[in-house]
Amino acid sequence: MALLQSNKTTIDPRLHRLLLFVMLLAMAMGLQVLEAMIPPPVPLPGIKLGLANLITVLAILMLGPVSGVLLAATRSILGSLLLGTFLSVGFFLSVGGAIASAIVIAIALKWLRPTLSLIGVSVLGALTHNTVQLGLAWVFFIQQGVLFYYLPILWLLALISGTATGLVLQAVEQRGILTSVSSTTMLSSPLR
Amino acid sequence: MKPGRFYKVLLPTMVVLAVVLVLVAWLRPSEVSRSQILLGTLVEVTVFGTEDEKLNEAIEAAFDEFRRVQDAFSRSGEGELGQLNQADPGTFIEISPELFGLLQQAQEYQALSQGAFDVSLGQLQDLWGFVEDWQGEGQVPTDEQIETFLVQSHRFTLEDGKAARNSLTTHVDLGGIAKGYAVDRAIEVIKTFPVEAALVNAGGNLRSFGQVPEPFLFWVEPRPFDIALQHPRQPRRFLGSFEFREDRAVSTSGDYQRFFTVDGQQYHHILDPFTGKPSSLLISSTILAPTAMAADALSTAVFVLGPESGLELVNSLPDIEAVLVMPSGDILVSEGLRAEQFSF
Amino acid sequence: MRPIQQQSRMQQMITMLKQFTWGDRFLIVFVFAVSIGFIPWLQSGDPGEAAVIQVNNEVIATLPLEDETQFSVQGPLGETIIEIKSGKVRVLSDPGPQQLCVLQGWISRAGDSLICLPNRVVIQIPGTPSYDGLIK
Repeated sequence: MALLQSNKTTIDPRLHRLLLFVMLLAMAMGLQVLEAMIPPPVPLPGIKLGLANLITVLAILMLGPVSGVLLAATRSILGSLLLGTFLSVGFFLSVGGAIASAIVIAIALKWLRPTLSLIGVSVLGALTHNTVQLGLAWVFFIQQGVLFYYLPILWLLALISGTATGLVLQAVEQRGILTSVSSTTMLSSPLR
Repeated sequence: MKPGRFYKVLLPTMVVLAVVLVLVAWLRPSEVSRSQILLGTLVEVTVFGTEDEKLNEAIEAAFDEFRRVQDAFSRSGEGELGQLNQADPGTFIEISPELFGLLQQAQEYQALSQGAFDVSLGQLQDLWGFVEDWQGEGQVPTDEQIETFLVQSHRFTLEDGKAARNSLTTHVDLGGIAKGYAVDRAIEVIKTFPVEAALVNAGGNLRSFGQVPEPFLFWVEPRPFDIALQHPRQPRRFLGSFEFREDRAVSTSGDYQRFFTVDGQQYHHILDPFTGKPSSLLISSTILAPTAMAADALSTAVFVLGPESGLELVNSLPDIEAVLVMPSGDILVSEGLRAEQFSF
Repeated sequence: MRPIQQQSRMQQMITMLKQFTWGDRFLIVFVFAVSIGFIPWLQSGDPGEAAVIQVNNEVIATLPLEDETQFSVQGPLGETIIEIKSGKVRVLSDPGPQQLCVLQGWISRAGDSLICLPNRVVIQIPGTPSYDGLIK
């Protein structure tokens, strides 16, 4: 974790951003692969708990919303290559869910932050993740009302996984590791 | 990209995109399907459209029409057909324009098939046990019994809105045409509702209208109806399939549809008007036609006519195709179809 | 020793709960309530494949195929017994003279149907078969 705090050193901020991005990406992909080992909560391809949202929140906090959304998209695309699910049904659900939840997390962090803590934000992200995946499955694959019977189950799961990732995020924040690269280093950088 | 641009450009774009997606999903055509036992068979009605309520109404109306046709053209009941069948021979009775039209059509198909299609054999069918509300039983009549229905002219006469039977043995049974007519009527009724496509399937008698509005990514891609033809001997296999791009009907007559077994011998319901016995030249005959009634009548006629004269008749008619299965398992098709598409 | 440890655990719990803002709590409780509220609705549907049973043109039951049951229905001729076992359904006995629906055996695919015409019993597995219409 030393690199996360390295903005105090004289490292090139662009390189710093890139390093952070790649490190977070690797962690997110790791979480995605880990998540794939857990049996899916409902018998639908691609629907997952969304643990990798943890990294999405970190990325948005540290690198800003654009990089955060980009990371979520890259993470799900590269992760699917790792898992061998690239361009499968589950792949589209995964990418859609990841991007949508990243957007909602970005919005929540910007405008709902004092009202919601990181726990609330990641709960929102998890809810978005699951709901959008189900919605995409409905629009593109199975148009059967039966699909929506899964919605309450998915929401309850999102509450659990969102709260869990939120508590982890709170712990990370309290340890002071979170430092926004986009706001401090970038502005004070001589390269800008 | 600066973070500010995310909120100013990217975000609104994505919100608009999401709204469009939801709207598209909302306007997607849905499919409603229901089935009921009517006219002695399982009738399945499927409709496609965007207004769910209208779809349900269309299905209800189609079944109501089916029920009306079923009750109106019962040959034994109190309806006008029942009255005609009980009237003294030679006495003309007033009939509805609808029944008159149907009987006229029946006579046309009779002439076209040189007598192979005959709707006045109701008593002969009763003799074999194929009564209107057939429950699966039957008996083999003697040759003398059959003879009485063959020697006399068992026809009927039509004259400006009136009909008369020619002899006591005339018993009009619209079974060979009514199912097709009911399917056609159901399709006509469905067309009066805001429905994009529909399929009415009454067992071996089916008609489609429009094309299936298949959702594909963000838009709707119409595709033809895929109609599978069941194997006459193995119910879980298919002989082949047809693609219905426009209004099209198909009907199959087969020896496996209604039959009973006596002393290990199977007797089916398609009687040859010339011999009075089940016809055995084919095991199934499938006809494609613009209307379900034409398909219904011709499939029976061709079944009785057999492979040679049957195909000759089909090839002489425009817009009509046939798939015939011989007792040997060989498949014959009419000029507009390819035999390779089907396998026994 | 033990009570002290327990208390410290309690305190840990309290500090953890304090991390939740009122917004968090509202969000969680709200979503929880909505999800729970949907559950009765959820049970009315069938997530798995099912057999829809019609008698006299009325749907009388929808049975999930994952069950292992025997179901008896009363038609105009008498009793038809339907058996469901490991994802398949068949007619065990039927008063019809020809026994066609009994002889048909097990069905399991979407779009398959068993029709006991004389007793007016129809069993269908809803779903999308490989064809739009089947000519029998």
